[in-house]
Amino acid sequence: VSRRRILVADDHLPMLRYARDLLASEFDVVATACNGKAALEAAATCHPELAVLDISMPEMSGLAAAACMADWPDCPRVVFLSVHDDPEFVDAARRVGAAGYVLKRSMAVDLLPTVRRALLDPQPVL
Amino acid sequence: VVAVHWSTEDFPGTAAANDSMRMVFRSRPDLGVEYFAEYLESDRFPGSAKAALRDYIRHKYRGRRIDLVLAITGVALEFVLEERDELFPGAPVVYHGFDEPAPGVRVAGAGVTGILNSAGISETLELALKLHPSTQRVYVIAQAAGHPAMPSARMALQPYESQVDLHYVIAPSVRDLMQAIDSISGPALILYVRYSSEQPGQVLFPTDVARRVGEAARVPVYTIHDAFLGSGIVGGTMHETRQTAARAAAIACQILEGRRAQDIPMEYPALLPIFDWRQVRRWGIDPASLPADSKILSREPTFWELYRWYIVGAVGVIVLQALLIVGLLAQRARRRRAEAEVTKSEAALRTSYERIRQLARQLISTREGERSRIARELHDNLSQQMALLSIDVDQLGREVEGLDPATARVRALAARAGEIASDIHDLSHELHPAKLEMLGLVPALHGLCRETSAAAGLDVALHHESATPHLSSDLALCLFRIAQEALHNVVRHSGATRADVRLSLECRTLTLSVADDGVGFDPASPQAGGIGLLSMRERVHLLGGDLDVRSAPGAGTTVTARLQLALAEPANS
Repeated sequence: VSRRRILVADDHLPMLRYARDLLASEFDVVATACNGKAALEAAATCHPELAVLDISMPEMSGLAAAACMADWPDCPRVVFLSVHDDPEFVDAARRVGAAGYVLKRSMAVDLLPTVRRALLDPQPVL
Repeated sequence: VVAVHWSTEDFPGTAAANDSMRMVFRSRPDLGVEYFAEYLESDRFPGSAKAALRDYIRHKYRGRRIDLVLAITGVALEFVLEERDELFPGAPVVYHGFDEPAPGVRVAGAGVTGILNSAGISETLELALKLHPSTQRVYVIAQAAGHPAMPSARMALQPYESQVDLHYVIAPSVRDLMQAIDSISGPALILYVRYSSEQPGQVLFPTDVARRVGEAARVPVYTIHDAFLGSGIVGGTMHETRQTAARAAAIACQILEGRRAQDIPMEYPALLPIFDWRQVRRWGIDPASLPADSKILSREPTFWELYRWYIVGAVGVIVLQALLIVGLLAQRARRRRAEAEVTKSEAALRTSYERIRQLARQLISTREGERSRIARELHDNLSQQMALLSIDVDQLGREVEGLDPATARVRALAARAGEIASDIHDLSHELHPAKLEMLGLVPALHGLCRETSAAAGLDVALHHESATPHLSSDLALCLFRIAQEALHNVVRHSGATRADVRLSLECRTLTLSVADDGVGFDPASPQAGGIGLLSMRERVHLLGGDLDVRSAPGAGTTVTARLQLALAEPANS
């Protein structure tokens, strides 16, 4: 069985590395990016099935990048990483069609199950 | 009282003397004087005049007592003294004339006294020569039938023969005289003593001749008798007939009061320089060179004398007007200066106000920038580090699961790391709401209301329209800060149980209001507001909006900010 293709983006390098390593244990991390814009470009070339995006990044936030990808015909599913546990962020994530919202401090426990769940068909709703 | 004149009644000097004497007697009604004047006219009737007048007086005054006789001129005195015993028995005589009476006459009979005039011929020439120093020739006119004019003149002028060329004009007729006058010119003078013509059909008084001479002469004419003045003659040294006649009448009054004529000394009145002003001007004589005691006749009032009050008035009005104008100009200048000052200080005030606003804007934006930078640092780095730390601690917790004391300590560690992460997040959010930048004003306000409700135990609701425009970060931050500050005040001061935050858009005017049901305050009181309201107001003003605070004690408070959307921002995006 081929491993599912995943993109990871975070502007904080230690965090990006951690997330990538965590995901690589189970998925094929096809690209990494350190801002929203780079994530968009990488997604356009690599066509990942799912993008794990930090919700707030410089240049272009994860939210904005997700909103852009939503218009694509083969748009990847999106799981957000965030330090914010406010409902307004969760609402915003939901509005751009995110499939998951993971708090960074509980990544170790929540990220892999959330990504797994997000890759299920039909696409679950956050 | 009978006055006996030598000359005719209508001779000008005679009339003046009569008039003057009558006035004196009239002023003494206590004496009860009846005044009569008789005229000898022996110059015109040399053979018959004396006898005729004697008979006339004798018949005329029959039965009347004559108390006093006035004799005018020496000829008249001679007649009166000759006829006194018969015509005026016992009457004292008052004499008015030029010739000194003989020594015995004064005390003889009822006595004689009076006025002795001097002819003033030499004095007049002296004066004339002084006023016309370049004079070389003097023509003397002194010719009168029965009158000693010529010899008197010759005698009086003898001393001047060496000084000037003296010519005594001999003219049998007035025509001859006028011809002679006509030929006189150059540096010469005419001294008119007297001239009369008794030629039948051509009787002329000395006054008439004087007028003709004065009018025709091409050189200055001087005279010795005031009766000749007023018709072209400059003047001379003489007596005033009216004055000397009045003196004579006054002496007569003394006698009528009871004094003896012999006891009253003869009077010698002083000569007086008299001038005709018109002639002084005509001959260009400097008025300052006239003797100080001169009497000036026919003086034309000067322009100044005529119009003095008009001139004074006009000058006064002009000066007043000038002062008024100067005053008005000065006041205008002062007002302009003051206006310029005001304009200048207004401009300075405006400049400094603008500078203060600029500074306030810079202060706010600098502060916001700084807070935003720190917030980002907290979020972008510290929060991530804390998250990683939490992950590591959790990992550690799983690894030491079961090891009794370690498990509990790692859990405590994880809890503390979580608390620190939460604190950092809150601090970052407090400094600069990431939500506002990332999610926009409405979600940020939602968060604010929710957090305030949770923190203060107060019901805070947000009301907004579904379509809210995308706002510039300045505008969004301003409104967020106002809501933040207003809710802060609600929590701290109002004691409210409920607050409503409303955001609405109408005709490009964005209105944010925060209303509470708390205790309110009096906006007019000096303590009202404080730094919070002040900074809210300043923030709104910086973006060209206005802030309205409505409150009353016990009626809650509503803070309303109104801001215009900039044209670049579509109202409906």
